[in-house]
Amino acid sequence: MRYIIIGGSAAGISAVEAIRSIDQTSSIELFSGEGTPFYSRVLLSYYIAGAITKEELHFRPLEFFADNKVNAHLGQRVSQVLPESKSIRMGDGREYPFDRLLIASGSSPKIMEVPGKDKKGVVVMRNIDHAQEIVNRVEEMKTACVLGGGLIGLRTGYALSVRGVKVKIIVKSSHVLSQMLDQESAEMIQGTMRQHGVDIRTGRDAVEIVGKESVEGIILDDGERINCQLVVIGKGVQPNVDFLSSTQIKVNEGIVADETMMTSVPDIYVAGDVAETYDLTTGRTSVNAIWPCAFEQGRVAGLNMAGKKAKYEGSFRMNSLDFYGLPVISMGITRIDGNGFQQFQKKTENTYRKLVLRDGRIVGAILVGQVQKAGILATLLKKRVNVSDIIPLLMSHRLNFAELLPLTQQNRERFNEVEYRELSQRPLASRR
Amino acid sequence: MKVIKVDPEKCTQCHTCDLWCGIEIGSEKKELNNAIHEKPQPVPRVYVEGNNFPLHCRHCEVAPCIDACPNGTMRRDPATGLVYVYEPTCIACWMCVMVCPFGIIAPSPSIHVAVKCDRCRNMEYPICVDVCPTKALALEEREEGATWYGYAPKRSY
Ligand SMILES: Cc1cc2nc3c(=O)[nH]c(=O)nc-3n(C[C@H](O)[C@H](O)[C@H](O)COP(=O)(O)OP(=O)(O)OC[C@H]3O[C@@H](n4cnc5c(N)ncnc54)[C@H](O)[C@@H]3O)c2cc1C
Repeated sequence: MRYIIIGGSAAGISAVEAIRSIDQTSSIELFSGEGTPFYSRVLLSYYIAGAITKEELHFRPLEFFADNKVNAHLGQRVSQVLPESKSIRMGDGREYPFDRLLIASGSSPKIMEVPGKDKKGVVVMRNIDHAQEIVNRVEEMKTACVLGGGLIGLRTGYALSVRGVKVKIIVKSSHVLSQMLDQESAEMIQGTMRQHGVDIRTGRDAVEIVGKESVEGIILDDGERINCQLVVIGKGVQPNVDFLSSTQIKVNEGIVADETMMTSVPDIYVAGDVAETYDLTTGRTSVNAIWPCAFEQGRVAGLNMAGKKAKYEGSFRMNSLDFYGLPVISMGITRIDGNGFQQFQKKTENTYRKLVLRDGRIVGAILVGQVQKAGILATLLKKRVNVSDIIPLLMSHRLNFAELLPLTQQNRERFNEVEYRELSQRPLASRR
Repeated sequence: MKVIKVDPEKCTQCHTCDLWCGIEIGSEKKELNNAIHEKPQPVPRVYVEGNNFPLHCRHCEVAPCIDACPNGTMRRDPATGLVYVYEPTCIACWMCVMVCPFGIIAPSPSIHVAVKCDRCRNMEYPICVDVCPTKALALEEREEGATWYGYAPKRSY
């Protein structure tokens, strides 16, 4: 068997681990457009903040490729996938044949069409070079503007603020993290950030970036000018699918995956930010470009590629952040539009909890302040069990797994993994 | 893999398990009289839940916390498959907390590390099983055919 993997980040590395758990001998050729392997994108903002060093960005040791007998081609972009001849082609015309291919090419920042976007000091945040460019400028920087209130923009803004840069976040919507949070929870974060000197402008957009060669400021849609030396554009991401043109591989928003993470073409699999999968909360297919999904999908793809049947149940968006000691976790649908939803909210001075249900099942949740039991809610969401009888428990700080044991036993077919079964069996030592 | 099994019928809610876990595993001094004065307060890794159900990390076959961890801090012991937190690299992002099906990973605000049971993987015997006066906890082999997936580095880095 000859495996080829395009992309050496979360999804690609997870697939290598899965393949090698079954098949230790076949060849794996891995191609990555980036020269630096094994760095975690999620941690780039921690690097900017100075919380970790460049070496500490690693999520696997440098010996990983050698240990796993992977032939890695770093800094080499695949320019074409050729399904008919079951091979890939590089920019210089070289071709490599495969029996099974994984596309784990991830995503890239969306471009924002704003005048002045090509000036020096206008950056996006996706890779280690972007982060390094920001770090190099930190010393000479007084003010930075972040355009967009999404997670990546906010993380970058937070990091810069920790470094002592004056940060202004310009958000078109009425609050930050509009994909993740509702107004109440977003205001808690905004409040904390403002207390720490971050300036957040909601309902505003930048119409121009000004300066000669380098950025000197931005102009907002209400005419205000803000002087700054750096502009971070954080307007979301789009899947990297350019090398698939003229193939039959089905692409909507991302590359469409089936339950085994296979694309519409046999023997070609997909995982991570580039994959479009069934979304457990919306019931539609979509791209959920987050690290945990990339790892899970990479494993399912890798197992199937190596001949072990594995099923991907579906994805849902979720995220966790902790700015200035205020932990926040959000998952699924958190702002309801349309009928058929039920929602429950509870707020204290420092905590917030929200549950969104449809047909008695959890489809979304937000936790602020107290987050330890978030994973229980995520699991109930994923397992799609009816929880209408236990809402008070789910909304209470008393929530714990033992209280849910009867529910898992009533839904044995969904909680059939060994770790759940074991909890329903008394230990042998106790039986006489 | 040996895991801790629970017999709720034998649990008398005496909290000996979490007390000793807090001292032996959570504290610096490993001695009750000193441990109770330590700051930050030692955190036990076992929770006596729902009256009589002591709950620990279950070392899932497919562990969502390992998938979610963005830098390989959450990992397995390659010899046993037990899941543990490699504390020096934990950056307190709480992605593992977000996905733990049992809610047993504590996001520690004081030490900025995800805290959870590793089944005393470096000790001869888990302390909680050892001290349980009614034998409500037992260390037993996981059922035959069980396996595990996910990052299991042969060396720390
Ligand atoms: C600053 C930042 C913060 C983030 N924070 C979080 C967070 O808090 N939580 C979370 O869940 N997620 C977060 N994410 C998202 C997370 O990083 C991604 O979901 C994850 O990296 C996806 O992994 P992937 O393997 O699918 O793709 P990627 O990490 O995008 O990797 C794809 C790789 O494929 C390579 N490639 C692309 N095309 C080709 C080609 N033609 N030939 C060869 N190689 C190619 C790319 O160069 C890249 O190296 C964050 C991302 C960023 C940038």
